[in-house]
Amino acid sequence: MKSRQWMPIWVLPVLIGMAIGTVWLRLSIVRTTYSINQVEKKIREFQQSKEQLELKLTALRSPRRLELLGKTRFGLSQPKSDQIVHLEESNGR
Amino acid sequence: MGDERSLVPVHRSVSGFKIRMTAVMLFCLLVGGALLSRAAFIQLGSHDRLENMAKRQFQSKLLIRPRRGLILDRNGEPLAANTENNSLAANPSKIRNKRTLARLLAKALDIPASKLVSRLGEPKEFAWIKRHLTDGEITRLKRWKIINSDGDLADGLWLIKESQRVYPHGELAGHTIGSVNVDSEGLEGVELWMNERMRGKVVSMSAIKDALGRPTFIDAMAAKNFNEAKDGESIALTLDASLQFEAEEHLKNAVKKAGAKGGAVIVMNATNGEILALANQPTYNPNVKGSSLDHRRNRALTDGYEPGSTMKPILLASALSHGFKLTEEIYGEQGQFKVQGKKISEAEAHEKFKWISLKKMIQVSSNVGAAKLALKLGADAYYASLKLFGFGTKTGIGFPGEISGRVPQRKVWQPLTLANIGFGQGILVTPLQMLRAYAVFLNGGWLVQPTLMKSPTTIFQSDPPRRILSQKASDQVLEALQAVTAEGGTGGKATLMGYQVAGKTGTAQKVDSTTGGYARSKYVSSFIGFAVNVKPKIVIFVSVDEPRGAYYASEVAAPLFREVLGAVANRFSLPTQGSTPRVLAANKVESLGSATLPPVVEPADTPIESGLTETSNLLEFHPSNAMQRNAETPKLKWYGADSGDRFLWKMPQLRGLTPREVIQTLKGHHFQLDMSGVGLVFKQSPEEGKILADGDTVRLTLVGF
Repeated sequence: MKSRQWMPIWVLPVLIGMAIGTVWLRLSIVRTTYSINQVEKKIREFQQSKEQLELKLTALRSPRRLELLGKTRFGLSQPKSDQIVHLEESNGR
Repeated sequence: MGDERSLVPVHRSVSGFKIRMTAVMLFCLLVGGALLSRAAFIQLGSHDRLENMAKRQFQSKLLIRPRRGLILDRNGEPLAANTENNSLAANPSKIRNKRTLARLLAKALDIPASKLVSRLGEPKEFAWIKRHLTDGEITRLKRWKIINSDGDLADGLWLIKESQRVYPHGELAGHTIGSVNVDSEGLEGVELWMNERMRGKVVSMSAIKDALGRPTFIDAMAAKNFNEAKDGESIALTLDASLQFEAEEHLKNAVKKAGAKGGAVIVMNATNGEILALANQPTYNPNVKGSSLDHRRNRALTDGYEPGSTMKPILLASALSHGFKLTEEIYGEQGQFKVQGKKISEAEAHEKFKWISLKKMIQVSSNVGAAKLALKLGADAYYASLKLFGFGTKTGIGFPGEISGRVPQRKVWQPLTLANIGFGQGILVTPLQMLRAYAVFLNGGWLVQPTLMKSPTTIFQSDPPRRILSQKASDQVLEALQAVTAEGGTGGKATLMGYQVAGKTGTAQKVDSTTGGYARSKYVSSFIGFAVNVKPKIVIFVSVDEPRGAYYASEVAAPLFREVLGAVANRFSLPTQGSTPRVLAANKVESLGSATLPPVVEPADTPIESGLTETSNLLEFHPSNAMQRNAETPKLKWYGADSGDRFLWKMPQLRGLTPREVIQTLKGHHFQLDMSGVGLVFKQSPEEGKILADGDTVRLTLVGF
């Protein structure tokens, strides 16, 4: 009488495969995390540059600076009321 | 015998071996037992401590700091923004040569060396050396080799990236915006007021470190925490940066010219209470730390003053509400009289009157007339009116530090109190309270709540406007205020060519803090007014504190008002009377609310119907003054405002009107007009008396006759 195997022969490769799969998955997650971190770092840098540029732009269009530029570099002066042409929102009419 | 001898040693050696074996086994058992019990003790007793120790080796704690929300003006112009820079920190326990390093740092960062020595000498693992380093300081750190050519710092030092608050426009609206501390926590102004919303949510989370110490997020909980970190909310104010700048410049010039101590300007949309400009002198730059408290104070909201003659229109409004007539005359006492032994005499009105009408009393700013009127009106009526106008209570704007002013309790009013408050002395008000009170006259009797918050709209729920004065009384006060800027009035210098200006001068004596009485040479000159018959309806307050030389408001405040009104007119395209401005292009100025958009800019002779397109009869109307020009067409009645700050109106009867009359009636509110048919209005939706809001659709069926 043939003795019964206590475990089918295919179980071992499956277990090994699962173990390797788990490790691979874990490593993939770690790798992806690094990539995400890198991208986030880049986003942060871009965001920082954008903020800096926006700040620069805001400072450049500051009313005080524009007035000073207008008066000194371009020789402008405050207009009289009859020299002002009011612009109205055009809405396609 | 010999056998006996041989047996004894064997027996002895066996028992000796046994004993030794037993001893060894016992020893092994003891050692094993001791090891086991030690292992058990470690595993069971110190489990938590050891687990934490292990965790510390492979886990790191991260603090995710949010970005502080921005502060914007009504057109999205940043008034407060963030930038990132480096701060220098140290671990004193890891620094070997503390004295040398302290000396180098002191040179590079301009900090006293002794201070650094003591800071580095503290038994701590963390100490700030300097927060928010400038580029120059970083360069100097490199020059002194504290940062080497590879960018590495000396042992025990490291740079930390930190967010710093910056105010790109410098002084602009500094008093309103306020400032933050080194940790970007609000200290004053809107920064303090909206701190909770703008600061965002700081999240602390732990992540597993890899061999190089880099954090990895491999569990769902960490990712969830990471997503929970929230940047602060940005806040949009109702201020208009351009107008704010103009107001500040004009105020600065006026204060300088008058040699005054300070001043304030507030510009407010009278219809919805939005503050468009709020300027104070002296001013300060929130980017520069260490400005004096006196310069940082937002006087327009947090300081009270005795209003003087600008209070007279409030008295007039009260009198008109209690049955007095504008033409009614009161005895002028030939320029002076006594109340409870105290002399009351004319100040700004240099004429001495025998009889003076209420209108004239406002026009020439007669103290005697106002005092007599107050006495005639009675304390109960006047006190009730002051309360209705909101004096003695905060305006509800919500700004930190706003004061309620002080109206003396009714029970302590003496005749002299009544007479004094009649012409604006003996009562403490804030500029904003006065401005709001004057907006009532421009609004046809409605009291609005001032606001500084444009968005998010959920932040601030304004109280709906309250009618506190009848339309008739309001119109009469307006008439009197217009007389102030007419010939013979005290506000002649407030007039601006092309505009019909109404307002009131006020020259109030200041209390001398040392004597407790009125100072002889300290005044607050103010002017509150507006351009009438133009939209948007904008009310302006100006004041100059302690002007030297000419101190009368007619000389100091009225010209400042004119300058500010000119700036307002330019900024919001207030149409001059009889002008035909041209439409040239689109502009990007944020509108002042649907009910208050700049009027339609069309030549006066253009038929109103010319706006109707042939392809569609769904037309969006633009505001104009048609309602005021044509008294024959039915008028919309103001019903109130909805939660979205849109005004609500009662639908008038349009049946029988021509399209031209309909347009004249409904213009100014962005109603969508859907007309079908030709002829006269036969059917209307909504029906007469129903409530409609600005921007709603009005459907009309026209039938030819």
